[in-house]
Amino acid sequence: MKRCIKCNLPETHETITFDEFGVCNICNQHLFKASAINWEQRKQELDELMALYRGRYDYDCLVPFSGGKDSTFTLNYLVKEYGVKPLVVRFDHGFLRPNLEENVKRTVRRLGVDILTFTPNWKIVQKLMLQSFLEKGDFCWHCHTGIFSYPMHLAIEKNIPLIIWGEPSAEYTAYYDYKQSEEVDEKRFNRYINLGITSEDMFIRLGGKVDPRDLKPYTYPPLKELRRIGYRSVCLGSYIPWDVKKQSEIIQRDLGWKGDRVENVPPEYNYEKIECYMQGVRDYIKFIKRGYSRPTHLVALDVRNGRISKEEGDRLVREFEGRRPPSLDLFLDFIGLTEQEFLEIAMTHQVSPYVHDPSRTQPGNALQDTERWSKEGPMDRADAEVQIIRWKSRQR
Amino acid sequence: MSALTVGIVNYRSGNIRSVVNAVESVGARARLVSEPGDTDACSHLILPGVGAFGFCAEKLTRSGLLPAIEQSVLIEGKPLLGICVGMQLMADFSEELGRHAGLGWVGGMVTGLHHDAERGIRVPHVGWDDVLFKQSLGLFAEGESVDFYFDHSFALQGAALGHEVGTCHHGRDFSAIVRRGNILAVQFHPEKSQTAGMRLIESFLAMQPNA
Amino acid sequence: MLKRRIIPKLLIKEKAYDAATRAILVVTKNYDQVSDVGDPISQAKIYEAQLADELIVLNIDSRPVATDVPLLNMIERLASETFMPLAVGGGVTQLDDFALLLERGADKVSINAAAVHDPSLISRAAERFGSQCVIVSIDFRRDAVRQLDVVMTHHAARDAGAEVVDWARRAADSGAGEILLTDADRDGTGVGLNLAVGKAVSAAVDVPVILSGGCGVAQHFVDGFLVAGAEGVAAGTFFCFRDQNPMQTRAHVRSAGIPIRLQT
Repeated sequence: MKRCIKCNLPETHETITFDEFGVCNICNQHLFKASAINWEQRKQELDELMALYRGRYDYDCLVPFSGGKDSTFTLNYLVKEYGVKPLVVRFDHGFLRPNLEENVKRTVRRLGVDILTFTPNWKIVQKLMLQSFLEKGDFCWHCHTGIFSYPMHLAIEKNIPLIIWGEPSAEYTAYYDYKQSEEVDEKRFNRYINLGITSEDMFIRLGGKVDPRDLKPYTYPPLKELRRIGYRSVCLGSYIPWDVKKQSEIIQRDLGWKGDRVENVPPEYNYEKIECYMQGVRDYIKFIKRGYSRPTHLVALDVRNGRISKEEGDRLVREFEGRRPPSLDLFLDFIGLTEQEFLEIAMTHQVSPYVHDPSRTQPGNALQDTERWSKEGPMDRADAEVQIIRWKSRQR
Repeated sequence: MSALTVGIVNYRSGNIRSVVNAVESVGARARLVSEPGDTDACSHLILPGVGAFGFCAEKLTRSGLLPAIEQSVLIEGKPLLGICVGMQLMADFSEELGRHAGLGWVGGMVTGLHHDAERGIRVPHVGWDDVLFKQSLGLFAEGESVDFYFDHSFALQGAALGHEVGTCHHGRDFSAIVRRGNILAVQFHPEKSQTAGMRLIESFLAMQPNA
Repeated sequence: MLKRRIIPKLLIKEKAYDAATRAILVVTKNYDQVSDVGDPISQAKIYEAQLADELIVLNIDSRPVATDVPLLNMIERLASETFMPLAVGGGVTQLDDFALLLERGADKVSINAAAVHDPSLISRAAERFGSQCVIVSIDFRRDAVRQLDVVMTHHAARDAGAEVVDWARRAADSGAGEILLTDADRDGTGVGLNLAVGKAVSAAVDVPVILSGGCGVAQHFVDGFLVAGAEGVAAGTFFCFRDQNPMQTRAHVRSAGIPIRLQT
């Protein structure tokens, strides 16, 4: 596989292209971010934005929040820098880890903010996970769409027009670049968040066999309604230069935020993706499809920021990447598949030129908090089969 | 932007809907010009055009709107944007399926593009192609190269030197954008060219009338 | 330099959902097995956000356009909610159908069986609307017995009695602006485009060729452009059932050194 000569990301990384020197566009976006943006001016724009909305509504802004490093930093920054009164909104995807919950409790108590959490219908979540895994090789459709739609509904309902997100996608992919300010709107939702499927499409893909009302949390609200409240939905990372390592240190220091181990990730990256106990499975699927995964991604970031050498990075990748996560067993229960089926399905989504060889997969280590994860609500195989059979009938 | 009312000439030859949509999405008001009197309330006019030159020219004449357009554009100096065949109609003449006289507002002649198998040139010229800005125009700087969506077999050449704002190349060089005072004409479809197209429309709407 | 095009192909069928009949986006396999994948307007907006170069919308119900009010309304809505070049086909049999669709917002109209039945329709349409509005869509299959690639019509059910390269040449000579070439055997299978036939047709005509049928991985698009000489590659199933979208595919194509639009 062709790789970036600087950060080593492979050609199977979404939206990657290489310039005439073999350097990838993500590296070049980083260079642009570091050298060609007037961050002072951007910060001033943020000051003006905050001033525009402040004090006029029940809450100065709405902060979509997971409790991970990015949203925690964003919330901390807004409260400390601007003294705003935010409404913190959480979408519970169903797999929130214990340490994360403690982090959230600690954060919101130390900062003093109102927080709302929404947990959608688990039975619907299961159907959605299975359908999106079958058809897109990514079981997190409910999470991607819920996280980005649900806060917008709440913004309309509670009349909080200013919504502030964390990291800009330009940091990791080229769906957007740093030249423009990344509006977190319906276009972005359609561009890559929803995997090319809206809730209306999902209704049809499920054969119309679901109550359309159950899909509301995953539906982006109509532009008309958002315009009515004068909405602005932006990334904090469009106004201040994003640096996850530095920011993680800040929240550890200021809020006592604690990192966690993630399956098949080097221990020194304990600030990344600690929210979800299905993260290991997510990363494993990515490896099956694209031949690289979380360690490569993390090392690439560090290489770009000059924090690690390529050789050291390679060593970490070789040791940790592509292993079978023990949490896969729980995932299979939740989704109603056998491991053989899981592999078969994942492999239909391979991205050329990568070809996966399952025989080379090594087992990975289990996490310490596995016992504390809820195992409630395994999928009824008969229900899963309805979707599986329909999918199978379409294969070659 | 909100004070602007853009009249889109409705002579039953062109994708009116997309043009209306594009104009409204940049914040201006769009109205159809179907009767001569409709031009009065408009600050800007757009002449779309899809189809063979002769067919469009005849439709325009038969619509009875030409005098009102001439009055608005040539006398009152309201900015006019010609799109695709709308641009070609403003040339001196066209050679598409016979020789047809144009309105002569931007000069030049419309001749066929030719295929060249060796260089991989096919006709019609369909798809996204880069336009080189020889002069600045609104939001576009001189020297900028931007992709727009083209779909045509005939193109303008020979417009007066100072009038050529943007060029494109497909087998030969041709004028992609010409401007003569308050008249702007583009060969590509800005209403189909997404972000670049919107910038072009915004640049057009920023043009002032010159009476 | 003219850029190559990545063109999502939207197949439309009318079906009953929620006790109401509506236009549904579907994908097919070998022009036969139909799977429902979404709402046409929703999908068109998604493709637009994903910077697809243009859209092809084909009505695969055998219903004449002139009387298909739901379809015409859908096209009108589509054209007014998106800013992308739009080609529409399916059930087009006469010149007035062209006018109807263009009026509703289509930029180009595609004809298939009607052109085979009466090639003068191609020249008449080109004369009135310009060739750039006229796409001749050609579906073909391999006839193993006769060792020929034969033109099929009516959703690849009827042998039209013509060889594909020959018909493509005649269609281009009659005034077609573009040829949309689809291998019915590869449709929805993901095994890759028919590069041999694509190449033969591209060499035989001077108009742009859009190749379709069988895209399974991004590399197939690259092959379609480089090996078959297609100016456009159209895909239906590819974007629906894989973790791939036009922006990812586009990056892959660009990385292979092929000129393609990248602006965001």
